[in-house]
Amino acid sequence: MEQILSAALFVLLYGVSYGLVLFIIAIGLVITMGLMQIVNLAHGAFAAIGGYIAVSLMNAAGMPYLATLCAAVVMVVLLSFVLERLIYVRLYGASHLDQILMTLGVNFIVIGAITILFGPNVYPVKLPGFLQGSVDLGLRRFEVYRIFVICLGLAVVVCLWALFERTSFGAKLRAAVDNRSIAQVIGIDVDRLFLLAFGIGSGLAALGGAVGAAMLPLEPYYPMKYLMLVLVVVALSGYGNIRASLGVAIIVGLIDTAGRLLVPAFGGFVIYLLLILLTIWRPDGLFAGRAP
Amino acid sequence: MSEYTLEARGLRKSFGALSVTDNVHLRLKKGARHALIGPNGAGKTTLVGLLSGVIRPSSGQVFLGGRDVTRDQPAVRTRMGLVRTFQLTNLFSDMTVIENLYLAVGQKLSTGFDMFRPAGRRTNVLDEVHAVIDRMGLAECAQKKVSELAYGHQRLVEIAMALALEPRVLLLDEPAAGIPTSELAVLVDVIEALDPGITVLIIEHDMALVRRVAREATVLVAGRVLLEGPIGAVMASEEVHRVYLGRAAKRSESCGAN
Amino acid sequence: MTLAIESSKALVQYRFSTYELIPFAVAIAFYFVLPDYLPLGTAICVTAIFALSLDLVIGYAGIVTLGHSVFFGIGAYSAALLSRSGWGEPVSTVIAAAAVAAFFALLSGPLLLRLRGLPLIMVTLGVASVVSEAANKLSWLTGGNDGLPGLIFDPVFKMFAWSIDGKTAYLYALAWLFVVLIVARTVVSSSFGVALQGIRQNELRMRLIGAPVLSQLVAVYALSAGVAGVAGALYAQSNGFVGLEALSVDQGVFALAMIVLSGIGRLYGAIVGAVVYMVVQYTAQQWDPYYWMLAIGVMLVLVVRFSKGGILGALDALSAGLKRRMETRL
Repeated sequence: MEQILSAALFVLLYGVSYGLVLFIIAIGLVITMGLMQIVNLAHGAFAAIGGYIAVSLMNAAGMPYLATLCAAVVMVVLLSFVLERLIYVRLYGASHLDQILMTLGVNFIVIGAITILFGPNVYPVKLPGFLQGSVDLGLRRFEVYRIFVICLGLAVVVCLWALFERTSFGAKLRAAVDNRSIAQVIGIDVDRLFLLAFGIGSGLAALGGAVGAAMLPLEPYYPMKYLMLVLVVVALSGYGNIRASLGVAIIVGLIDTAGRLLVPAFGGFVIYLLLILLTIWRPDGLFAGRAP
Repeated sequence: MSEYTLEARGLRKSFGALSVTDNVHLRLKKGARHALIGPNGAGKTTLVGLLSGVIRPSSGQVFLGGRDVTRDQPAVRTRMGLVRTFQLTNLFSDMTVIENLYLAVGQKLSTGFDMFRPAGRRTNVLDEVHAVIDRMGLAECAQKKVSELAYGHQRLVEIAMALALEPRVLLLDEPAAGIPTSELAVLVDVIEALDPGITVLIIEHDMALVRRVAREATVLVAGRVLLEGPIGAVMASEEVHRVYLGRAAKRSESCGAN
Repeated sequence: MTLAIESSKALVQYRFSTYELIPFAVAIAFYFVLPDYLPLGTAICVTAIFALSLDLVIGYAGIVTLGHSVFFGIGAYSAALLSRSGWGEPVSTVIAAAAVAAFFALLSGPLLLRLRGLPLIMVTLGVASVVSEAANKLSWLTGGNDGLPGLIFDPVFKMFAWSIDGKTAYLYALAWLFVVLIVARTVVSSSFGVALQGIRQNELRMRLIGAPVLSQLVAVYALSAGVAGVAGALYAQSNGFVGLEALSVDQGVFALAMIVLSGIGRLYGAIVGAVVYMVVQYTAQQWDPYYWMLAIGVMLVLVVRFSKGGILGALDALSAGLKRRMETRL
């Protein structure tokens, strides 16, 4: 019995922390796709860039961990503003195929650049002292790092909730996601809103990539490797439903962790197969309303 | 074998609390010329969607020639002879008139999986395509892309597509919509010249067209059938005037009596 | 800015124009003029066939898939396994490999092709990733990371032996490219091809005409998978070796880039795109293999941003412009 409880707690801790990292990375894409109607396949690239910046700042410049996280986020947000003006602004209203091709192009550019700058192998992450080691919480020992991720993830969720539900910015954002043309008619500057939302989304992706670097290893193929997982979180939550995406991300984290634990050889496939089947069953998202 | 070619029993469609189609019964005998009229938003196009299979009913059944087709996909119903036209032109706008009709005739002649013979050499299909084009008077614009045609001609192509499929039952969804009165004559002639064996359900607002073409009518208001019967009786009914036709009908009534 | 997909010209009387022989004349000349580059030429033919298969499915039927590499890989591994179990006749191997790939398309098609747009892209990407990973794990079948080396094939038609200088391989691959092109042209200008374009332009209307849309899409999907399988088998035969890179998801994405670069929905576009891509890749790899991805990414962004209909589209526009100018002169 103790074994089962211990295993369950393991799945819970690891699954929830993994899911929260996925959520932090995916939420930006949820907003972008829901709001800007752009299929941004390069979203994972922001996460990768954030991770690489944070880790290299720590390794090379010896910056304290939390500072590297902030630096990574800020730099990626700035980069995203530049990219938005240069590239993404051309994609509004373009066909899906165009958007996919262009953002795939951005992906390739990032992958190529990362390989040139950091080499083709996994970039090693060394956790700072205060995050190393584990803590005994009764039934089993838990890694401090994982608990930190969970706390940070929950903090992000709370901040997002406050932002969306309690600020006028959030209200405007929700209005624009719901119905862009009417939002414009009542005077909301949708273009500026887009830019800010895109920045926030990219910054969050960078945070996810940076914090999650010990869980999702940094390598040049990072943007393509986790693309499907992120896309599926966005899709299954219905392309713009922020609350649903939290639920979906955590479920994905739990199932993946459980799968790898229960079926070591093929556990990694469980989540992919399940997601494929779910997408076939409900292409419009798990929580799609009973639309006509 | 049922005596009715097209039948709807208790069709209901609701979106949440909104009931768009409410307990609609409809029965058309072979060769019927039946009009479906009603104010805007009464649910006429939804009903056509339910009959053609594009919309799934919340409850109720649709019968084609006595067979229950409620669960059948639109393509299946079309192959069984139920063809509809669209209110807003819904053709292959980047293709020419000939190519559009080729698709319809080709499907009817089962060339859908013919991967060997070049389409341009399929004389049996092309001959029939040209026959339809001539019948509809579209010879002049045959080589033009549909998107480049005048609106009136596009509507004619819509109907040509339907006729090319040799329908048993024809659902015409506002065929005259948007056509200037000067070009209406061709359309009316075509509809009047339809094979008497085809069962026709026509949705229209143009009462002159309805009067010339239809023999019976069903009045739909807020998704429900208000009245049904021979066209003369329906048009003369006080209730219908009150709900739908209004003062304009009184005027056209006196004109139409000539 | 939407990429221009060539609209249907299928009803124009089908005639092989003499211009179409030019690429093949060039290819034959290549054989004599640049014998040192024959292995590159063979690789170009193989890539062109794969790009063609993708063009059939994306450019004509409108099925956007990121997972076509699966069929290439199935073709490659089938050919390899056939060779290792003793069957050495090359032409029948290619046909068998194509059949295996088509078979899997027939199995997955009815399920996948109910989807469109983004869900289809995600699912095909997912399936390709899963298959690629699975192949790694199933090393008893695929040789895992080491792959299946040492593939030997009998001389083509019992006459032309495979040689180190790659002469047989080149002409053999070129011949297959010719065959595939003829098949593709025939299908595309048939009634079936017109129906596919109808589906791509207005699927709802096709259903309301009574067309069995799903079956037609599955048919073209299977055909395209077979062609991809041909490319895979040729890959195995010309390299004598098949490894996990044959199933790599990247290939499907690169092939998409190829046909976009040169113009979707124009079969020759696939060939032009493959040539351009492979030549650039070959030259780029001389400096630094990693600059390769960067170059492709930049090309993709520029093409989508600036050109309508890729290289062939630009050439079309150019020739139309020249014609207009000549006409005003006269």
